[in-house]
Amino acid sequence: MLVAYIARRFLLTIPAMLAMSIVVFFIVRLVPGDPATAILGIRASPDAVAVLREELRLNDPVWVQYGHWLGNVLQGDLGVDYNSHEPIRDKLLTRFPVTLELALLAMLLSAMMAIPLGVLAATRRGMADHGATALGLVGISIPDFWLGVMLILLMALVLGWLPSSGYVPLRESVWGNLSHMLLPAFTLSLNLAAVLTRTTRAAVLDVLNRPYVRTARAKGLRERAVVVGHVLKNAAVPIVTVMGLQLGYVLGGAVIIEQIFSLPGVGRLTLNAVLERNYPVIQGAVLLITFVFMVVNILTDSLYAVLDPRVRLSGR
Amino acid sequence: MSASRSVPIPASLAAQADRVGARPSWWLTLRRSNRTLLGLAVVLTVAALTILAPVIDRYDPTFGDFDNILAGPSTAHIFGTDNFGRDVFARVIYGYRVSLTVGVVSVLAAVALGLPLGLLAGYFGSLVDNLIMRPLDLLMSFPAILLAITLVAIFGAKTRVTILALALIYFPIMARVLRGAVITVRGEEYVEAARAIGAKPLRVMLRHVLPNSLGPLVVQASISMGIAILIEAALSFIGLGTQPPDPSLGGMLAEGRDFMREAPWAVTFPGLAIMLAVLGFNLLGDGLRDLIAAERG
Repeated sequence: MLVAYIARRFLLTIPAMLAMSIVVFFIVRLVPGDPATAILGIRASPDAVAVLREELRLNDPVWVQYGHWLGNVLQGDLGVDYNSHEPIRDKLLTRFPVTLELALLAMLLSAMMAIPLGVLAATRRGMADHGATALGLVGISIPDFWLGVMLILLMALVLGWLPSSGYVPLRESVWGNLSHMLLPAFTLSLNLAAVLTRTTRAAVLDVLNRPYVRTARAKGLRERAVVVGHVLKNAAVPIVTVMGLQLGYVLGGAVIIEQIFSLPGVGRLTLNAVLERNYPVIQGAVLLITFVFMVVNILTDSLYAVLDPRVRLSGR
Repeated sequence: MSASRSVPIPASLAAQADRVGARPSWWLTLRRSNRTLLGLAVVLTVAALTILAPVIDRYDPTFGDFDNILAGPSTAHIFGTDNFGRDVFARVIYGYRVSLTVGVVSVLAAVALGLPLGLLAGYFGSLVDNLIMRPLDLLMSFPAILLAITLVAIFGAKTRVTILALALIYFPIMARVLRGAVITVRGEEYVEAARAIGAKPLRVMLRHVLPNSLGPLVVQASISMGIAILIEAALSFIGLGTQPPDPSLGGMLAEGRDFMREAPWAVTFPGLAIMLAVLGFNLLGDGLRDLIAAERG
């Protein structure tokens, strides 16, 4: 039944992805200028441009062009980079793992801060609650790119504890990789933790007064066992939902952090493509990010169904 | 009281009485929440600085004093100077002008677009709801910063494009927030009563449903102002927003990075300024949300 639920959700994203592909395709067509000229440069001979226009099928009606492009995309061919002439798919495949690692590490750091703090804020109130409120407000108000810059200034330039920027693949050196990832991941995590702390606090508060929690206490369970075994388990749905949404956003929105820390991820690729007006790369990257975003959302919703069987029943 | 509400004429009277009664307590309600007051104070201070910028500033934000390059904070330059000897405080205040203008215009545009859509979708439900909300859901499934960057790729890096991008990001959110509130309100007795005495749908929507559904939208608008300021600064920081030499808080940060070791104040103060403004709008939005929740009881 769970499989059917997930399959149904995937089917539902097909129209959304199609709509997105149309948007992505036509956005690029809206741009003034001729792609053939863009590839060959303004000094290219008119004959060469005409040949390339024919090759790129630019003389076909726009719907035919779209169908051709979509057919290629479905076969995994996203076209070729205007500048380096590399296949865009290969570019995205080498860069996506960097973005994914950054996102997962940021999520992990955020959960390590937010969930204990949120639970403490709800169960103990007092200082922990004030701490959670402060983190919540500062965390969503602080510009992450500024935090990144300040952390580079402090940790790399003044103290010299961590490298200021760059990237080392995990295969080459685990510590080298982590030391380069720590600052950007922490920078991203503060904002995530702010929202997650609030969510956790609210979810735990909501569950804390339920009858089954009273029962668990009444049968003499220690407070720790009540919180971990009964409260947290039942508060998990909203927490997981928020984390799923956040993962989707971090995968698509780490553009600026990747740029500040010179991490070769998808975000930085997209940004550079925008600055260079490298449209096929923008198309490919936007399509990939949207796709990942939707997949993450479906997986989150499915996890939801695992955690709370009622979701499955009502979704049938 | 509830019995009299089902009698035709007192229905509109009751709604009116509610409104009249609410007015004097408005300030009293506001005073109960320190958070809201603090937020309001911060927002008003930032707004005042922005409006009064030409009066309070002793320096032209684009004037470079080459005898005072990278000078630390002093009584002459309270936030120090940058690599062109420009006064950082003056630039922060003029940067606020861009931030606030972008925030206010984009949020107003988003409300102007989202309000009618949310009202119609929430009030009529079913088919109208689906026709309006499904496309908006699609728009919302697009990561915000990516949408902004894509628009900049097409239309170029200008403040106007930033405003357009933010309005596009926000209007589906505004529509959805209002729709939620309208769905709750449309089932209330006074709405039913208004319909029973033969008020036309438009009148019911505008006179009875809308005024009682606006709370969550106001909260969302306040929080969106904060996020708009953040996104504007982020875009200017990566060179896709307001262009130099116009002062913008994000642009100042980007320029300041190159000499932040020698002049940390040139990156510290613009960042703190962004944070203060965003914090103000968040406090205000949060506080208002709590007040509305308390009133609903």
